[in-house]
Amino acid sequence: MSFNILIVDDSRTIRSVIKKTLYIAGVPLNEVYEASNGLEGLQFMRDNWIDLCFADINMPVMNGIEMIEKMLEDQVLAKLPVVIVSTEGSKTRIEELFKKGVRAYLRKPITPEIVRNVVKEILGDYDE
Amino acid sequence: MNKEDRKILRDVCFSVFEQLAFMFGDELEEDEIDIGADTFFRATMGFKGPMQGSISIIVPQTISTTLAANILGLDDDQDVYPETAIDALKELLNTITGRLMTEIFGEDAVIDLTIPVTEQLNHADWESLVESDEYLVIDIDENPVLISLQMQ
Repeated sequence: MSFNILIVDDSRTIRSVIKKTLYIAGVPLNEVYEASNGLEGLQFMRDNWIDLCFADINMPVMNGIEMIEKMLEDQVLAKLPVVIVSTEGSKTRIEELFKKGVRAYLRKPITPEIVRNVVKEILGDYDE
Repeated sequence: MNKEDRKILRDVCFSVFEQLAFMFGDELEEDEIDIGADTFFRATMGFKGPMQGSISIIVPQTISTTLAANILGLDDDQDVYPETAIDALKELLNTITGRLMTEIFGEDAVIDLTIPVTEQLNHADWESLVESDEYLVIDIDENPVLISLQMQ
């Protein structure tokens, strides 16, 4: 089994870092797609099958929270697991994100070990 | 900036440079600043929460290039494009700001951040900013870096 993963972040640097971290973590990947804001991400996930989405919060055009709220309005996208990767440190905001269905929150900078654990927790143990 | 804010800012910068880009920081006195660079980049972003303000960082072009190469894990023979270096600087500032907000306002505060913006500065701009009290000067891998925190 291999996964289709979407990375939504306005920083090309961070998209590259997450992509590289996924490879180093040994996550079996079919395709890794990229979007530079929430609106692009939303449009992409409506047109393509995605197993897991990594998203930032602070982005232009449509931020990560608005994207998640739009996903909740869609029967199919509401079930798509989202992992937030952000510098955000506010407990209040992180709790709000979990209430909106976010599956995990990773604070930058991220490591392959953390990514591996989160992917296994959400998509199952791909080593088995 | 008061003394406590300067200390927090310096410690957060050192920590983020080290964790994000494997670059190491040290103290630097103004009279120790010696730089021949002609081109500098300034990244700035705003915040709004219990207080509002902005954070800026100014680095010589060489630092932004090394920063991008280290964050992306590029080999020595791989080129770093200017837009990649600027993007890496924005991300560095984003991470510093996120950490700083938690250090200053605590984990319960909700803070909205703006998108970082960058501009290019010349040597004369750099000289005048070094002399102002607005900026804290630190050493990153033997290069001076200026950083400021303004709150109201």
